[in-house]
Amino acid sequence: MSNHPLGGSHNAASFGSPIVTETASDMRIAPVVPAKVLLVDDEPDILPEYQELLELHGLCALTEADPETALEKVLECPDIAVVVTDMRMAKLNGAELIEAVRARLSKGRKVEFIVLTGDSTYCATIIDPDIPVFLKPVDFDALVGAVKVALAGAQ
Amino acid sequence: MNPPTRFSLPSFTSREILIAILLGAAGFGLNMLELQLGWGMHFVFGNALVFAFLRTQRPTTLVAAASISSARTIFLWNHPWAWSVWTLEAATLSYFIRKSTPIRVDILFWLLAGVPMLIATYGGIMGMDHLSLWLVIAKQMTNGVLNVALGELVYFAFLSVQAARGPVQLRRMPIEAFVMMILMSIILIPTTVYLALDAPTREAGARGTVARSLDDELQLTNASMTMWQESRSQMIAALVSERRDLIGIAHAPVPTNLRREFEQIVAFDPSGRPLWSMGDKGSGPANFPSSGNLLTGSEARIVELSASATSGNNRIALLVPAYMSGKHTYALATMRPDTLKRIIIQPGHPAPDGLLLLSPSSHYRIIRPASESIIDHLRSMPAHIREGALEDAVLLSRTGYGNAVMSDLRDALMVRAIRIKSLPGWEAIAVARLSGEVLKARQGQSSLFMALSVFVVLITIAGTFLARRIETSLRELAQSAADLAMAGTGRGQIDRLVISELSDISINIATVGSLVARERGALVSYQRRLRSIAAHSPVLVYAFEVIDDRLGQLVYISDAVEKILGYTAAEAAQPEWWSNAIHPEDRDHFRAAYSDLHPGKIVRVEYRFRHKQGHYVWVYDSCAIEVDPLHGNSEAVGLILDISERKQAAEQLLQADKMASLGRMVAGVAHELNQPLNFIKMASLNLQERTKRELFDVKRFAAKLDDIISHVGRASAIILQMRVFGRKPTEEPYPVEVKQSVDAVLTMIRNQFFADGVRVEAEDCDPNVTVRALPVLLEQVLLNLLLNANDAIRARQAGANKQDGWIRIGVKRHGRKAEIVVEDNGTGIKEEVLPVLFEPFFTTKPPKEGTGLGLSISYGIVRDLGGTLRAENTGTGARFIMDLPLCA
Repeated sequence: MSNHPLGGSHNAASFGSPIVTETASDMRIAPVVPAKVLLVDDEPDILPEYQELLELHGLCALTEADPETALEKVLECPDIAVVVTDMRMAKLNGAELIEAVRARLSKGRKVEFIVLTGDSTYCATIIDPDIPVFLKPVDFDALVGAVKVALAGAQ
Repeated sequence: MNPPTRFSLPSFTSREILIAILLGAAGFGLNMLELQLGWGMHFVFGNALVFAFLRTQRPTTLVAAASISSARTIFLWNHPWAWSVWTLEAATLSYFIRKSTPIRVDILFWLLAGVPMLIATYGGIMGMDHLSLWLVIAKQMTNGVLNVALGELVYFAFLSVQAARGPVQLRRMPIEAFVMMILMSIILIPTTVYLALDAPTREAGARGTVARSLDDELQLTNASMTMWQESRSQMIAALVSERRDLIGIAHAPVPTNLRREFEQIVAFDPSGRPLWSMGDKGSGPANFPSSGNLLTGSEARIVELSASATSGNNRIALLVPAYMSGKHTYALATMRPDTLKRIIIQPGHPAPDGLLLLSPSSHYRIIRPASESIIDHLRSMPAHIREGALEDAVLLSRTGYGNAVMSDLRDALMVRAIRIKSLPGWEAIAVARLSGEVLKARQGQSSLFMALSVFVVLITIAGTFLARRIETSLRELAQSAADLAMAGTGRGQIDRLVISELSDISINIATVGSLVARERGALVSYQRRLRSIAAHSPVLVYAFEVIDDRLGQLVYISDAVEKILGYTAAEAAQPEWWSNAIHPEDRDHFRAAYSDLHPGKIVRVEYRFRHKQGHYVWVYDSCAIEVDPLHGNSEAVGLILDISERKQAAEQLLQADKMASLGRMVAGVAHELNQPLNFIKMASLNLQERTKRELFDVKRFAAKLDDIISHVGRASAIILQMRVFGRKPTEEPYPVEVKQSVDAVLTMIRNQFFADGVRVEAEDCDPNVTVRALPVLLEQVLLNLLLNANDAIRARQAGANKQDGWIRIGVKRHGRKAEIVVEDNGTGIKEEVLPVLFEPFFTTKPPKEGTGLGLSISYGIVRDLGGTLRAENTGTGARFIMDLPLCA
C-alpha cells in the first residue's frame, strides 16, 4: 500500500482505495474505468458521498481532504485527468490549487478542473472562464456530465 | 393782539418766604457783629451769609434776604443808601450767577453801578467831602467783594462737607469761581484782619498826640499861674507893710508896676475892717469890696468876688496875707478882667483850640479863644465826663449819629482838665479838635482802601485770565484724553498742555482710556457674538453656581430653553425645576453624574427631559465645573442639546447595522449552510441511486441517514443564531452571563473563521461574569468586534504577512466592572484613525464592504449599557476593551 501511487496520504489509504474496490464489486452494470478523477474538499464527511455517487455513475474517483496533498497526488499520478475541487479551504484554496497544479504540471500532460463552491458570491471567471463552476448543493447530474466532458477533453 | 403785559410782583412760595426771612434775620444778626477798622469805619458781614446761598436759591429769595440783612446799615449809619446799594448788589449777583462767577460779577457791579450810586448818594445827597467819599466808596466796595468771597468760602465748605458724606448734590463750583475765591480771600481777609488789629493802636496814637498837646498847655498854664501868683503876692505883701501911712487917706492910686494887672488893692485887718484902699475908682469905704468870709488862711490865693451890680461876670482878686506893724493884715487885689489871659504864657507849638478856667463856682473863664460852639459844648458837658477829663483826655462828639462816628469824628473834641495848684478849687480845661488827626488817618485809610480796590480789580482781571487758562487746560486735558482714548493718537493735543502734571495726567488717562476702550470694544463684540450664538444655536446654554460640590442656584439660562424644552427662562429659574422635569428612570444616573462637582470635572450625561407640553425630549447635557476667577466661586457652565432625533436615528442605525452585518454575514452563512445542505444532497442522491439500483445495505443506509440528520441539525443551529438580526431590542436589559453570549457568537462564526484560517481562542473567559444587558445587543457588539478582527487579519494576510491569524476573547472581572477584551493579530489600527474610530460612517474598508457604522453602533450600545468601549494597538494587532458595569 505504501508504494501505491495513490496511497501516499492517510486519507487516500483509508477512504479511497477500499471504497473504490468495494463499490466496483457492487456495480455490475458500469465498467470500472481507471481512476482519473480527484475530488478535493477540506470537509472530510462529504468525500465518501461524492466518491460513491461518481462510482455509481461509472466514474473512478479519488478523494483528498488536504489540498496540499492533493497537489502532490495530481503531480505524481498521471492517471488523474480531472480535478474537482472545493474553493474555500484553509491551507490552500481552490484557485491556488489550480494555479499550483498548472504551474508544476509536466509538459504534454493535461488536467481539466471543475470547481465546487458554497459561496454564492464567488466569481469563477477570475481564475479561468473555461473552468466550470458548480454551486453547492451540487446538481450532481450536471456535475457528472461536466466530469465526463472534461475527461473527454483531457484525453 | 398780544395779551397786555402786566407788571406783577415776584411771586414767592411760602417756603421761599421762610428761607428769605430766616436768611435775612441771620444776616441781620451777623451784621451786628461789625468789625471796627478805626476812625468810625466798620466792615459788616451779614451779606456774606446771603451770598453763600447764591447757587441754591432763586434771585427773588436772595434779594429779599439781602434787603432784610442790609437793613441793619440803616440803623448803623442813619441813611438808606448803603442798604439800597447792597440790595442791588445781591440782585445783580443772584441774576448773573449762572452766567459768570460771583466775584467778577461783583467787581463789575461796583465799577458800573455801586460806585456811581455812592457818589450820587453819599456825595450828592449827604454832601460828604471828597476824601471821605472816596474812602467810603473804596471801603464799601472792598466790603462787598469780601462778603462775596466769604460767601463763596462758606458755599465751598458746604460742598466739601457734602462731598465727605457722599455724592455732591449741590451745584459744583467752576474752577474760575474757585480761583477767584482763593485770590480774593488771600488779598482781603489778611488785610481786613490787619486793619482791625492795627486801627485801635493808630487811633489811640492819634488821640495821644492831641492829649499830649493839651497836657502841655495845661502844665504851662499851671506853671505860669503859680509863678505870677507868687511874685505878685510878695509885691503886694511888701506894699501893705510899707504903707501904713495910707490909713485914713481917702484915695491913692495903685502903684504903676501893679496898675496893669490890678484895678484896686484893699488892706483889711483880720476882722475884715478895711484899713486902706488904693485904686482907680476911689478908695473910700463905699468902694471897698465885700471881703465876706474870704479873709482866712495864710496862703496867698485867687478868690472870686461876689457878683457886683455892674458886671454879670464875677470878678476875681488875689488875696494876700501880710503884716503891717507886726499885725496880721490881708490885702485883696482885684484883678483887671484881662489879667488872666495875659499872665498865662502862650505855648510855642500849635495851641489847642481853646483854654478855659473853671472857677469853683462853675464859671468858665476863657483864656484862649474858642468858638461859640466849643464853649456851648463844654458848658453842656456832663459833670462825670469833666471829672474824667481830670484823669485823662476825653473825646467829646458834638453831633450824635448813634454808633456812627465815621462822618462826625472830625467835629469831635478832645478835652483835658487840670487842677491849678496856685488856685485851689479852680480847674484849667484845654480843648482840641480831632479833625487834624482824623484827616491824617483818613488820608492813610483812603490810600490804603483805594490801593486795595485797585488791587482787587487788577487781581480780578488777572484771576479771570488765570482761571480761564486753567479751565482751558483742564478742558484740553479732558478733550485730549478722550480723543486719544478714542483714536489712539493725537499727542499734539496733550503737548499743548503747559502744566506738567496736567500733561502727565492726560497721558495717563489717555493710556488707560484707550486700554479700556479697546478692552470694552473686545468685550462688547465678544458678548454680542456669544449672545448671537446663544440665540441662534439649537443649544441651551446654562450656568449653575456650585456649592459644596453640588448644584446650587441657576445663574443663567439662554432663551433657547423655550425652543428646546418649551419653558421660559423665568420658569426654568425656579428651584427644583430641573430635577422635577427629568424622566424618573433617568434621575438616578443624572444624580450620579452630577455628584462630587469638583473644579475641573466635566459632566456628560444623556437623559430624558419633560417638555412643557408633556412629552419627553432626549437631551445631551455636557458641563464643566469652572472656578470664577473674580469671586473664587465654582460654576457649572454647560450646554444642553436636543438629541431626540439622534436617538431615533441611532435606533434606526442600529437596525441598519444589523442589516449591514447581515449582509456581511450572508456569504459566510450561505457557505456555512451550503456545507450541510451539500452533504445532505449528496447523501440523499446516494441513497436515491442505490434505491434505484436496489442496492440495499441497511447498515450503510442507517449510517447515511444519521449523517443526514446530523447535518440538518448543524444547519438548524446556524439558522437559529441568525434570528437576532430580525429583532428590535425593545425589552429591558436583564442579567446576562457574558460567556454565554461569547459562545453564541462563536457558534455563528467559528466555522467561517476556521475556513478563513483564523483561530478563535475563548479559553480565558470567566463564566461567572454577569452584566445587565440584552443578549442580542451584547452579541451584536461581540460579533462586530470579531468580524472586524477577522477582516483585519485577512487584510494583513492579503499583504506580505501570511502568518496564521488568531483572535483571543477574554472575559474577567475588573473592580466593579466586567472587562471583555477582543484581541487579534491583524493589521492593527493606524494612529491617525484611533480618535475617529467610533465615529459613525467611519470605515477603513473598501466601498460596499463596510457601512462604517459597526463600531459606532457598538460604542453606542456599550454606552447605553453604562459602559465604555475603547481600542488600542498591541504591536501585533488591535485590542478592543469593553467595560460594562457588573450586575450586582
